[in-house]
Amino acid sequence: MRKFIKFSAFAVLASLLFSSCGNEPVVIEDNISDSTSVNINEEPIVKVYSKYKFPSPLEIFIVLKDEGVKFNSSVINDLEKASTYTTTDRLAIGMGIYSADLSYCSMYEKSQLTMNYFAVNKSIADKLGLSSGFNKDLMDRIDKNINNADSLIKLTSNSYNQAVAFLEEQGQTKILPYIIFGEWIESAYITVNSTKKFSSDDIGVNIISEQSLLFENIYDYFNKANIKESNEALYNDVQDLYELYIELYNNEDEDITETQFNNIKAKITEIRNNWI
Amino acid sequence: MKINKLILILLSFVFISNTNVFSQNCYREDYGFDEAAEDGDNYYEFEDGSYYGYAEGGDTILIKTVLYGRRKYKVLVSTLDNLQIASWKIIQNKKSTKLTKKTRNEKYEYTYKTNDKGEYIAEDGKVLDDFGRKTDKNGEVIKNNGRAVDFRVVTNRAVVSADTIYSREVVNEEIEIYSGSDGSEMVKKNKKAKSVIIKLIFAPGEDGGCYGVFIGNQRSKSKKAGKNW
Repeated sequence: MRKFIKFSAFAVLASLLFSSCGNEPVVIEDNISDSTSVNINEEPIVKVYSKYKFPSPLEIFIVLKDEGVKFNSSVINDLEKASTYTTTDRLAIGMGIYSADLSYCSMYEKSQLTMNYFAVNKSIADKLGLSSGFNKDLMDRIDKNINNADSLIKLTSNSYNQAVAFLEEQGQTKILPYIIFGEWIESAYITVNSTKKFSSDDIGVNIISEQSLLFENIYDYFNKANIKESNEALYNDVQDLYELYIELYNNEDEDITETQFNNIKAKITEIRNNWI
Repeated sequence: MKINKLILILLSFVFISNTNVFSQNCYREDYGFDEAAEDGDNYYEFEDGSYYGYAEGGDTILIKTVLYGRRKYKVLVSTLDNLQIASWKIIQNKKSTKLTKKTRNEKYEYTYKTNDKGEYIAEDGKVLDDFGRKTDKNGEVIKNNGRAVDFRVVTNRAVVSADTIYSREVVNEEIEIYSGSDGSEMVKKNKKAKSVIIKLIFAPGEDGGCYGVFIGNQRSKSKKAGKNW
């Protein structure tokens, strides 16, 4: 059991900490050139950095659960799909997708599924070469603190920097937009499928509506990361969904109409199925 | 015991996946902040929304994020080492659409320069024929490289017909919803989701240091999810 616990904790670290890079906003730091000024009186240059903070999918699942939405195992990604992901982009997207599934399962306390999704995330982390980002010292500390939740939390906090540093050293920060996309599209897919019939009061409908703001940041982030050049098909999918979301701004009395919701739901489903 | 360990792992995952610790070795626990999360029967969950980073004196940091609707938020900023916050703001990035009217396929009616007799005249004052062409003393049209040239001078152009098109353009408006200084905090119920930019302006100085932007949303202690989080 101890080995199992240790493995699981490692899996948590190896996969989830990296997948939590999906929340990691430091990847793209822009010097916003038009906001940078140089004073002719030789005062210091003002440096302006723009960063992104993406709330995790867990924020969505907390609300769904609190509102009494039942767990639906049919909407999470098939574990077997992981073996079909071979390119770096697909692996990173897969990691994001499985990370969202993992969050969903753990939020609903589905122990066995959670363990299964731990394992698949670990395997993808291995394929991406991310697992080696954790050194032996960290593993030893996990071993010593395996029964202390608070210590584990602190350890994982400390290890996050190791993970980011490792990604930077390996030149792999470019995979982070893919992980963010995977997390978002899977959590959106789970959410749209929690709604059986459109109603402006439905929690799923409301979440999808307010996700327009987050998705705009993702779209912005994709543009800054030049995803159009590295993966045009994915960029086009994101662009299509962005254009549907932009239509919500035309609404005057309601946040989202039934037609708009259905269009967005169909596009989310299409895009998610393109990339699982 | 087996179940307890399993729960421990699950709980650790829950925390792990929400733990955001960022670059330059800036850790949440360094801020000594846990006590501020309590709020009577409720508490503020800061794990998911908070942001930690490193800045140099004089830097400005813009953090783009989303504050979800139907929640009460507490937002505050803290710095470590010699880094000093000069001011910070929360700016709502509000988008709306504006109906714009455009026309296309315009058709115009032109008015040309004429003399007292109502004849068209060129810029040089020469009288032109009915089509604006210059003619010689025999009344023949003078051509330039084999082509007749219209020398009429337009004095006015009026649209006589056009197709009108209405379209909506997305307009971006920045609204300051909070302005704070070192030690201040914003507590606000958020009815609807807002896209916001948290703008941090650090006091000039040679030293850098860690800063933390603590974004907590209120949760009930009585809810199970709240306990786990």
